[in-house]
Amino acid sequence: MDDRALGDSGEVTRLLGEIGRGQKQAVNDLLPLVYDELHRLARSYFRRERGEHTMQPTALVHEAYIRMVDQRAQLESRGHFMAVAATQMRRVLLDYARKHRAARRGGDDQKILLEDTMVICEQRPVDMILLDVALGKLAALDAKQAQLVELRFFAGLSVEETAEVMEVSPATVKRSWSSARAFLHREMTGGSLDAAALGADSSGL
Amino acid sequence: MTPQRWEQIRQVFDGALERPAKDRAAYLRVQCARDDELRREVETLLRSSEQAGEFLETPAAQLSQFVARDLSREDEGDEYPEGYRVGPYQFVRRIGRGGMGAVWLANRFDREYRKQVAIKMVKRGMDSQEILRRFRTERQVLANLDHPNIARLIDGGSTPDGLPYLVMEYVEGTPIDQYCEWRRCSISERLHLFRAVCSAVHYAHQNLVVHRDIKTSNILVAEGIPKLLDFGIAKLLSPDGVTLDLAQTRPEMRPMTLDYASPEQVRGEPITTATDVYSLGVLLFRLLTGKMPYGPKLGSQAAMQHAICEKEPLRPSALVLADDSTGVPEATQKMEAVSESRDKARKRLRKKLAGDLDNIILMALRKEPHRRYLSVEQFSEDIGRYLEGRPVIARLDTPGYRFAKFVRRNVGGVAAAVVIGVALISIAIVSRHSEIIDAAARKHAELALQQTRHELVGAYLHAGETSRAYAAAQLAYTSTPGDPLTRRDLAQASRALGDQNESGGNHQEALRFYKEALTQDEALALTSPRDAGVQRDVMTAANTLGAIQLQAGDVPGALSSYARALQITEGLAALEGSQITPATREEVAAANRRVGELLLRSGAKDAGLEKLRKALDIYQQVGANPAVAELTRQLAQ
Repeated sequence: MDDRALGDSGEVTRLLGEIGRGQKQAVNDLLPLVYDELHRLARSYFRRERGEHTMQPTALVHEAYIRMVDQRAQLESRGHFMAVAATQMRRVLLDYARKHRAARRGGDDQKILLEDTMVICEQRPVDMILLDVALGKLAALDAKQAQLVELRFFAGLSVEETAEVMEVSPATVKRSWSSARAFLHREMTGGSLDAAALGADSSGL
Repeated sequence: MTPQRWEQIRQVFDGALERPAKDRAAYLRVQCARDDELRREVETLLRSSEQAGEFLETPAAQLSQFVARDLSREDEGDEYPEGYRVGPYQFVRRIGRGGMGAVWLANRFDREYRKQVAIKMVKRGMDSQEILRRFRTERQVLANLDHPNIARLIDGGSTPDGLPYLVMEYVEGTPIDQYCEWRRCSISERLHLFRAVCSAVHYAHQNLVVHRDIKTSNILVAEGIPKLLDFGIAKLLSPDGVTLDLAQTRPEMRPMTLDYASPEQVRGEPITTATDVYSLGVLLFRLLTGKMPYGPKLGSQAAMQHAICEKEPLRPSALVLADDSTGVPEATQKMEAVSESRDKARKRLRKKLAGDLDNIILMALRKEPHRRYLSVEQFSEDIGRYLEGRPVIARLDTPGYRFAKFVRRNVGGVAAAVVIGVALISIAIVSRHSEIIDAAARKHAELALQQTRHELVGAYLHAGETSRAYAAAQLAYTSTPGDPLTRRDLAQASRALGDQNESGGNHQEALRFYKEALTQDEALALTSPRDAGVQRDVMTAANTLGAIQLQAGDVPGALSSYARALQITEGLAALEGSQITPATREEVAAANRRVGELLLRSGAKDAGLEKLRKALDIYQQVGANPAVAELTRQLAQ
């Protein structure tokens, strides 16, 4: 497994370089590698930490970075990697949530047990599927804002780190974050104008 | 909402947030003076912002343990409950699990009828979009595979969560090897079953579908009829041709089965119909001996890959006697009369395998794709010949062949002379003996002779003795006319003589030999219309002939040769179908161009221009810029 990690680091670093040169295809090539690595880390983490009850995706993403990217790579590579990893972390969690929803769908309109599709945060659980739908809408309006949410929420980057990855100022990140968060919250609690106009049963799906 | 509108809303929202709460109402009144909707948008956002509290502020941290456990689970795709529905299909139970995901038995419910199908769920983490896209391009081809020994692909789509699935005819049967064991099938029964499998594979090849993943678990026998599963699926899931299990990079995945993979698959080289010939060879090996060609399971993946690419397979007959455990040809022991002692049964089996069957299997298992049977049909026919007691075309790689190969690879001159000497001696011996030994032995001797002649041609050619090579090839050809191997030798020797005469300035002679080479190549192509290698030989021969004719000023002759080359080239392009490479397309363009230019020279202006435009068209598509520029200039004149 260590051999593999070493073998990958060259490949991943190369792909990151290509992303840096604006080659879109490289992102597609990198996605499955990162997805696999996140899964693998989650598995080994769980095996290692048998006694633990929680694990942190943020830790996973950072560990993936350390394992997959040649540390001598340029700083900007880190940004590209984080962007990809955040997207994939979102997918990992979403896949998980969807699978559970699908599994629960046996009966007619049986209520999906919310905790099954939740990511447990300290304060309040977040429904991953609703979040995904809302993020999809946000991405259609402003892809940068959706990416910002991925970086902050799924990769757990700080405002400063996010600013570095997105190559904007921390102030811009903060401002953009506020409206994105408000938008998502409104979408997920059914508070948008569209939903109000269409009636309560419009889930946006 | 449009992005522009959102941008506008955001700006007003950002502005409001910068102000103290008490000033916001006034700010909004000004900003949204004539736009009530804008004001409502911003107001609801502000309210959400207020209520959101810590919403999303803490990163998606602290996944609970059960999330973690779930992430760590490997058998994804197993999570569907009984009764789960995709499209019109309702899951009954899981019936299998493969590298790509699980297979489910499902019912299709329509108003009129109820039908059982097998549904292959593709697991998460694979590139679902790409698989679906390939499925859409291939589905018609696969759905059209209508053969009694092929389980049909019925449908495909994606689940609500975006996972692709494939719906296949459900076959309730037993894997072919187990079937043979349980039924204690005789060798001839096994061979007949195997030939039915071959007919399915050959049929698919004629429809330009290569299976790529032939193995016992993909061949189920129901009521005595074998059915092949998963035709074309391997390509859908992994178009690069690396075998599926190889593509699984996760080390903790199930042990990879390289058992049926061909050398070209291991090396990542192009996959052709010869790949299926090889896998069928492994299958036959297993059906007849109960073992795999490279001996007991090799420990590591690397060792297995090395064996597939480098190691000579064991002789099937040798395995039967070598084995002293109760295990192996258990089936084959039992199938012989039960009263016979195991030892005796084994000896009989060995005797049956030794010779023709050994040779047939080993021919299919050759490392070089072009040295295997030219087609699955030829493979199957050879078994047919064996069953009827007629001579088979498979020949063993004799020590002579290996030596000749060694010589060709290494040094010429002296070593070649030695090979030739040895070959001549063995021919002499075989010829003499063939007069006094019985018919069966004679048949073998003849085949050995044929093989030796083949090697002799190769050795002469290598030594630069083209005239002798030609003479030897002709001799072999007259003794076994129509034999593909000797035809090939003759074509090769003719070509070599053509080259020699051509470079010696003897154009007329050269022309004669090139024509002969083309004739032989054409005859070969006729018997194997879908063998790209053979077709390519014809194309080369026709092009060479055309060039010589042109040089000699024979425009009509050159035109007809080039026209033939064009025809073949287009056929080759059609063989590649949607997988056509830019190189092949350029070949088509070049062939069109040659014919076009000659048509113009012979006064057929319209037809000529049409070909040139076609060539230009293709060059433009593949971005062959110099050719585009040149042709554009030509057409302008």
